[in-house]
Amino acid sequence: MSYFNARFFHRSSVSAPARQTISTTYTELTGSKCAVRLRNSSSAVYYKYCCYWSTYVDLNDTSTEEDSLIHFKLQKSNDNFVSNIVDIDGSRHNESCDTIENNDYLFKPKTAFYIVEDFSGYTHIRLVARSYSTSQRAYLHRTFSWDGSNTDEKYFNTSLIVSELEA
Amino acid sequence: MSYSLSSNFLKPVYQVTSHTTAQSSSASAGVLTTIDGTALSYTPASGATSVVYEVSFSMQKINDRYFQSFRLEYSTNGGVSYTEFNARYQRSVGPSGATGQAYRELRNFRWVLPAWSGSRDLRVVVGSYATGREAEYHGLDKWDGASAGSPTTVLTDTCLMVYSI
Repeated sequence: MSYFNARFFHRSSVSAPARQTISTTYTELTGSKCAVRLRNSSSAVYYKYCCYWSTYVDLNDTSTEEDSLIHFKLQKSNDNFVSNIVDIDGSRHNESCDTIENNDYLFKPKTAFYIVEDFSGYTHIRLVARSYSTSQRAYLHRTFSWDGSNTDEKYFNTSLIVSELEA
Repeated sequence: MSYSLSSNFLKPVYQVTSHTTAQSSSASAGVLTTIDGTALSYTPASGATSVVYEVSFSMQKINDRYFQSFRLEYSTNGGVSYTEFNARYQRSVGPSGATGQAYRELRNFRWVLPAWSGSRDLRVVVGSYATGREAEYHGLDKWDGASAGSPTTVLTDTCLMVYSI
């Protein structure tokens, strides 16, 4: 006799994502949303998303420079975020460059790793972000600066893994 | 694209730690502090060659620039004493040496370790390079476009998972 225990597992990547500008309204991060179908409703959810972010700056035109401070949080929903949108407690965190001195630029990949223990009754999960103020925005997924040039835009593909974790 | 697999991780053990207060690393060089939520006991699966230890927690500056060094430790005597796994797993994090640095981040570590026999108590400890280079963990000084208060009421859970491969 054999058994097959099918636990939910999802992996995806968005190729050549468009630039996202994060401002003061919470915005879904490209490639961060997943429809989750747990085998056991009491299971926890493993969530790991990776993207690229930078200060709001174009080194070819530094007159646009802003020192970025971004708020991130996970959300869950039972209707694909149409009307049911629930913030996940404990997922809130910040990413920033230096916000004291001017002209401190930061360019880095970002990994958001979470375990969500209470997902019963929900079907979707996503990561959203907003900036602290209209003068502390950030760019996601693309950079103007690469290989010594400030005009050769490059992108970073997003990646997402979501997995069921049975207790 | 989604898949259903018979086993996604081998012998996973996970924990989520909710915090009620922020935690600070020592202001003195050479003094190591266990980061709340990183301690866990684990016995690798039979036949495993490696163990993955993955953790995330938030951190931010306290006064100025931080310079923090992390290392992964284990105990085989119930936490009476701890040993560093290996110096190659040490990680140092810090912005530039200039003053007036106010970085914030969700720090994510993923260590792939040689498997062992029996149970070990694991933990992540952190130290500061020098006085004035300490950092604050779990608490956020700003949220939703405003100050989060002092002491803050906005905190980030520490998420930890260990599994075998």
